[in-house]
Amino acid sequence: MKTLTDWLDRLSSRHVVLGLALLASLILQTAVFPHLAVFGLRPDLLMVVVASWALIYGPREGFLAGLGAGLAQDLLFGQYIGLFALSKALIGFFAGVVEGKIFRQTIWVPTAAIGVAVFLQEVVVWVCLRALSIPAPALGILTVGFPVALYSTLVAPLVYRQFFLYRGGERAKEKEITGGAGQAAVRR
Amino acid sequence: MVHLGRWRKFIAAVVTLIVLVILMSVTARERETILFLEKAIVEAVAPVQAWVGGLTAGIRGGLADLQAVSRLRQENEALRVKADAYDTTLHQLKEMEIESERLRSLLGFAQTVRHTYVVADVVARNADNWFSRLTIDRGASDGLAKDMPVVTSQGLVGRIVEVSNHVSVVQLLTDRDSGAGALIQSSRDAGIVSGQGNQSPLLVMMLFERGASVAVGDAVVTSGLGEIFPSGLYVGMAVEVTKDNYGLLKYAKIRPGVEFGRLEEVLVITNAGAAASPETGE
Repeated sequence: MKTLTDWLDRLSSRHVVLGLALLASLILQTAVFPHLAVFGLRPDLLMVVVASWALIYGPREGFLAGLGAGLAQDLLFGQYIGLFALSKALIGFFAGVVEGKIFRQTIWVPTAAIGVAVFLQEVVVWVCLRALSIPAPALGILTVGFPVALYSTLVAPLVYRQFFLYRGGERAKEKEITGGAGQAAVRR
Repeated sequence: MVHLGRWRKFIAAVVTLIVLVILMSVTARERETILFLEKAIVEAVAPVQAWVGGLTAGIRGGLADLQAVSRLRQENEALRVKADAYDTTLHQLKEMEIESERLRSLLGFAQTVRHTYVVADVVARNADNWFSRLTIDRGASDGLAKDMPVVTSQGLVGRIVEVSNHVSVVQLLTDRDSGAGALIQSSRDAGIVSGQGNQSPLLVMMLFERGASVAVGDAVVTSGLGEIFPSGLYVGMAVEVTKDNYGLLKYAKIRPGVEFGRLEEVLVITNAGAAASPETGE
């Protein structure tokens, strides 16, 4: 019980934001994006959220975001539980490794990184499908992975920008708190 | 005692991934039951999906309606003329139906079992680009069960693969993992129809006989051999006939009767096992 309480204490408002973002993405992805399909393909908004989060908060957060998003996707529609949890957690982790190493002053570099993350996630899904002998197109990486990644980059700047601004707000708050503590110590 | 220290998180992540791989391998086989967690998530999210999906469809429909108003006026006039002609035809058809019933009873034919349907709204589609599935707002509490066929007035849609209390998941015929026993309506040559994924609007029918007689324009209906789909449901129309590289197998590409991208309501046949032939239901 103590572990659960500790865990809930550590659950910051940041994770509530992530949870809500993933839930909203899941609903948009399944209820709205089918109306926007081009040649039967839709952007992977969930992976865009995971990759954006990972690029801002690092590998641990990327892994957890990917695991949560993928599991929700698997449990909602999947015959194959673990397929999207595995692929999204894995690529979320590696997207997080890039955190701090890419040029973030322009939106285009993170957008390209998110596009690459979506593509790699589709590659992992394709490999898993082939490995498990589940029917998947032989050229699926090109016919599904590449166009989906390209389509996803259209929504990537919108998502990344929101998280980037949120992170900026968090940093400002942190500074305010530590600054305030410092001044109090001086007064004492 | 081994001190794990900073490796603890890494080991936890690797263990999680291994568990996911095992879970994936186990669930890759056909499952009869679904997990409690799956039921809970589907039930919780479906109402929101239905609301958001309805809103989107409404906006989309509204925009389309505005564009269509002038065209509809012209069509309306033309349809009025046609409707008058159909009234006459309808009377003739009624006469023929009565005659048909009379002849059927005269010949001693057994009464064909009629299908019973449950009407369901489509509330969402799967989130990925690899499978073709959708969620409908009817479940076990409405009498639905796994493997029940799903149709529309245009033809066969697919089958139910997951059922929870108020929601079900339907595998569409366009899914690569789907399959339905089918016949060329005119020649009665049999085969299996399956999907090619979301990217291709066409289905593929693999014919059992190399010498099967099939031509472009032939109608394809379910054969009833697979024990899931009753016989005689319209699947689509052959648009291309090919052979494999070695000339051993014959394939037909089928344009489905159903517009899978525009599905809003579907009918679930709840007595497919008992029904002998497809007739209009309740």
